[in-house]
Amino acid sequence: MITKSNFSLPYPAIGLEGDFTEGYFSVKPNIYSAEDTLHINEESVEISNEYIKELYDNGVISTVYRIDCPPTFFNFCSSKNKHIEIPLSKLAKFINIEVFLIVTDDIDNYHDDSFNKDYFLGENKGVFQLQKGNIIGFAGSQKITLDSSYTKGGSSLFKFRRSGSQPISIDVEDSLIQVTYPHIDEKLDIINTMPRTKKLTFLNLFIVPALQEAFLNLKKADENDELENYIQEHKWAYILSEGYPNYTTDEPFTCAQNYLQTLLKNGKKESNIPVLDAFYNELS
Amino acid sequence: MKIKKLKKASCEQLYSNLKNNLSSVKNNYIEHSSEFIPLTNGMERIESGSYDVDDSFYNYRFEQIILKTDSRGTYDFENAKIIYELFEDMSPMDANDERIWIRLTHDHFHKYIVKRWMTGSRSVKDIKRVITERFFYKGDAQAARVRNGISRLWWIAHLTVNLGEENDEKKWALTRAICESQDFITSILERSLGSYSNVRIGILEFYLENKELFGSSKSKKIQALLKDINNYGGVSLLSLMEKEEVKELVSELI
Repeated sequence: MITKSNFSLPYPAIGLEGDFTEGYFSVKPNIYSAEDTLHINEESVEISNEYIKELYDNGVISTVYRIDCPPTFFNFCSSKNKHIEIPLSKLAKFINIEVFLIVTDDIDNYHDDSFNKDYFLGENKGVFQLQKGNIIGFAGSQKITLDSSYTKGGSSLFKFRRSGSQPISIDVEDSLIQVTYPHIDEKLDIINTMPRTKKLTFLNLFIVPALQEAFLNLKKADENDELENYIQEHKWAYILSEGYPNYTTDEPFTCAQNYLQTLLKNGKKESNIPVLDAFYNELS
Repeated sequence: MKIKKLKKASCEQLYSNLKNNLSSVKNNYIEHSSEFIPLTNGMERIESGSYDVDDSFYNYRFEQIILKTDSRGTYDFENAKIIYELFEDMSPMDANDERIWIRLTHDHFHKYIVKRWMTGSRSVKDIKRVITERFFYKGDAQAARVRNGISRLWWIAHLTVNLGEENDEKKWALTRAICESQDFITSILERSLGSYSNVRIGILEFYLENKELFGSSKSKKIQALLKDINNYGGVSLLSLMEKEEVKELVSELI
């Protein structure tokens, strides 16, 4: 997070440069999207200044998350919820997340030796009265761009349909990419079980070819100067064109693999391209 | 009637014409003649994602949606209501799409925009700035949304209408209030505090309940009040306050 500078309050606040002789305040929220909702979870709060930490541990101060989205005038602020959910329909383009420490109960005697010595020069001799609601700490701000890959994720691209013993087929004419798969064994529901048990097979058998077909059609629409209409009519096209801008230059098979890797990597540790993963597994 | 969005390339072309060729296109933006030809004629539009709007305000002869106006914003409330009802299916996400607003300002509402925003003499630099602000939709900041001549009307309505209220007078009470002063619109909606519904509604409700406190120098009072509220937000989080706390704060600051 980016911390504030060129800003001051009439009392010391942790996180403002120079206000304290030692200590910092930082948070690491976990931010992800799932099922058309943006989730923000407070995972860790680090306060290294002992005085402020004591105030925090005693409940006299608390973290507050402020999320705003200027493009949609959306604003949310909460001190109670450490898990925040915001419908993505209320957001567009980007959000700013700021985290503060605020006073939850009046502090009549806000004073500590770790204040910058300049604060002891005034009449109050470094002793301040703070009211409930006053800001006492800044962890900084973070801007998160809400492109479609982030907000929608892979699950919003596909729908699956089963059919007797027909070969696997892919249809991109609808708002979602439809994958039709053969369904032979009534006891085995491929689409529900395979992603968990045979993930690489599932990805290489269904998802990579589906994405390849999708990118091929996206590229054709762009070459025929019909891209904007195409995107308007096909939700998946909007997501892919934003998530992988190089579709105009890369081959569709390459686009499919790279884009899938991006989706799999989202918010987690590095992942390999699934086709390669399967290859390495077969070799070992 | 169906209103189609422009293609992004068309929007970029219009802006490029303004940026690189102001002297040639200037009159298109400061005059609306009886032989007006929509500025986007011949430009590509998107077939899908269009808006079906009621054509009762549309004058087919002049190809304009008629909004009453002067250059001072006297009719902003009535027009905000009309625009919001015309585009009743628009969501905040949809309202972020510059392609519809640029189409509307350059075509259907051209006469309105010229009369509302383009009167009076200006320097060349100023003309370019005003055209960019009122006819286009540049940037992601709140200010862009309340500067485009038509999107501002939609956002003014969207941020103040009480959709849960059946009585029409009460439903639009805060929209009418914010339009009683251009200072309200700019001071509230162009600042980040305008995005805090508790603050926005708290201020407007206080104003409605205590108009006499704003007196004859309303403009100065509003500017000073919003500045003080903004300063207060420097030490305390305005967005955490209850609406009634905001009203109490306003009563102390006024």
